Amino acid sequence: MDAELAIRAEGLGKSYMIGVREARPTLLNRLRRDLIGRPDQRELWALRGLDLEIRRGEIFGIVGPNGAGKSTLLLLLAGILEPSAGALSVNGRTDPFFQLAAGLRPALSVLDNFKLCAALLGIPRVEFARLLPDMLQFSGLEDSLYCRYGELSAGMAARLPFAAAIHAELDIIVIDEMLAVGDRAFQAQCIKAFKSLSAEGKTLVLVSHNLELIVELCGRALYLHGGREAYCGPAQEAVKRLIAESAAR
Amino acid sequence: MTNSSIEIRRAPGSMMYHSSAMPTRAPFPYFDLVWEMTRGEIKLRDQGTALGFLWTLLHPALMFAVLYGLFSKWVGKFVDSYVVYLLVGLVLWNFFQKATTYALGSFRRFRGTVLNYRFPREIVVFASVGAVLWSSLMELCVMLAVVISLGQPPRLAWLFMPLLLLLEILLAVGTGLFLAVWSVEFQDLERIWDVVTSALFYLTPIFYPLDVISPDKRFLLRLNPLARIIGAFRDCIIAGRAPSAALFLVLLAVGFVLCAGGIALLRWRQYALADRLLV
Repeated sequence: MDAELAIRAEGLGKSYMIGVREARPTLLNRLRRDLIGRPDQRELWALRGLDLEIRRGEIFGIVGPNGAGKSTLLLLLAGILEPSAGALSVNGRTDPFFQLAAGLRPALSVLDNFKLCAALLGIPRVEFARLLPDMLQFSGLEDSLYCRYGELSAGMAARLPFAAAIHAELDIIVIDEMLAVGDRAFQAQCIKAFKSLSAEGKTLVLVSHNLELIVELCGRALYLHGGREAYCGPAQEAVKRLIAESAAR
Repeated sequence: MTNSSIEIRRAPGSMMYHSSAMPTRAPFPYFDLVWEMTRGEIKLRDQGTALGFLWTLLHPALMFAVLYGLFSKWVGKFVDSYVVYLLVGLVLWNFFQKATTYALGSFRRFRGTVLNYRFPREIVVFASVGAVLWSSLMELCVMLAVVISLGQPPRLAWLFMPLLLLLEILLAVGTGLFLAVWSVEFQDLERIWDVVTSALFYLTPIFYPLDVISPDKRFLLRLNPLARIIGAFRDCIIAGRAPSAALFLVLLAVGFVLCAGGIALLRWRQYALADRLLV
């Protein structure tokens, strides 16, 4: 793989098994299925035949209607899911997949969640102690350190994993609708951080329904539809096609 | 962290090449994560307070009161120091039962974490067992205080207790790993395990001695590793007798094999598990 490439996908596909009738995944239902031979699941392809190359330091956008396969692609890039078809090469650390505050514990304090998030991102404890003031300043959560995380508004809660992530040593940052709930000031702060990370050679893959943001931040974008590539190229063109096709439907 | 490692993931069945992009700076660079997850679980289980811990003591205390009230006259004839005998059995049984049951539901509890962060999945099970271990250690401390207050002086053999506890931890982690993986695939496993542990409670000499079982059936109960650990623990505390090296090594091997098997199953099924949690 070319060292300048951060991500390369060849014929990438992902399928899930989904239920076709009322049958919970239980041992009894599994035995019944094996004995009677009547399937209660079918294969659904969420993503199919995708070829993609993303360069290091690129801010790459992914757009498309609901159910297009955007989140599945991010989960594949993050190494959470395994491809069902094709191959995916990822050059660098892609551990986290950011969905708003997911994976954190609402019943614990903001400080405890900062510690947990840092540990999940592989930030050693000593390093975390050094970085915490910067994370707090970035997130604006200085005064909420001992609040329960679940007591924060959705926008404030989203700041915590984001502040921790931009201080972690990640090479490829995958972001799913991260900015949807942030206020304008935080969004501006994030956009500045994205540009700075990109200048450092980090790769950002951004999924968003905020098309203005995609055009502003991303050089190129992938337009997905029905699990397949509808277009891949300049972000402005990808967004234009999405808007045109959405209006036509 | 590996900043320049390339990871290639292919569809299962085709040739695979892995140069993992997971952190590689130390053999197991996840101690912070194990600690933070376990600490979080302890806080959520016991509300992080002394009063919260009292609730966890309530269950074994009540069980002890009922079993002692019912069986002390009958079983007491066969067993010296029945109070201590019963306490050891109950505390160790409770740890195994609670740890495995808590581990069973761990992937559903940590669904968001598993689907959003990349880390060795067994840490979820370690954290669950660790949280139960914390309250069981408190129970053990209370138990030892009761034993000493009953006039039993501390003995040299008590130094073997941590080793025996380690055997039980291995047993609980190994069993918990299998249960955690299968419970994602089979939602009724929680009920099945509930039935199995209820049966296991009576098939383990917790409130009765092995001597009350007919000799031809005793060997069956002896096959239960938990019964052997509890027996060795009682020998340490009541008789001041150290466990035999052979027994210890056999139980250690059983624990390691169970844990290795559980981790292998988890690594093999980790992506299928993510699919199940997602869909």
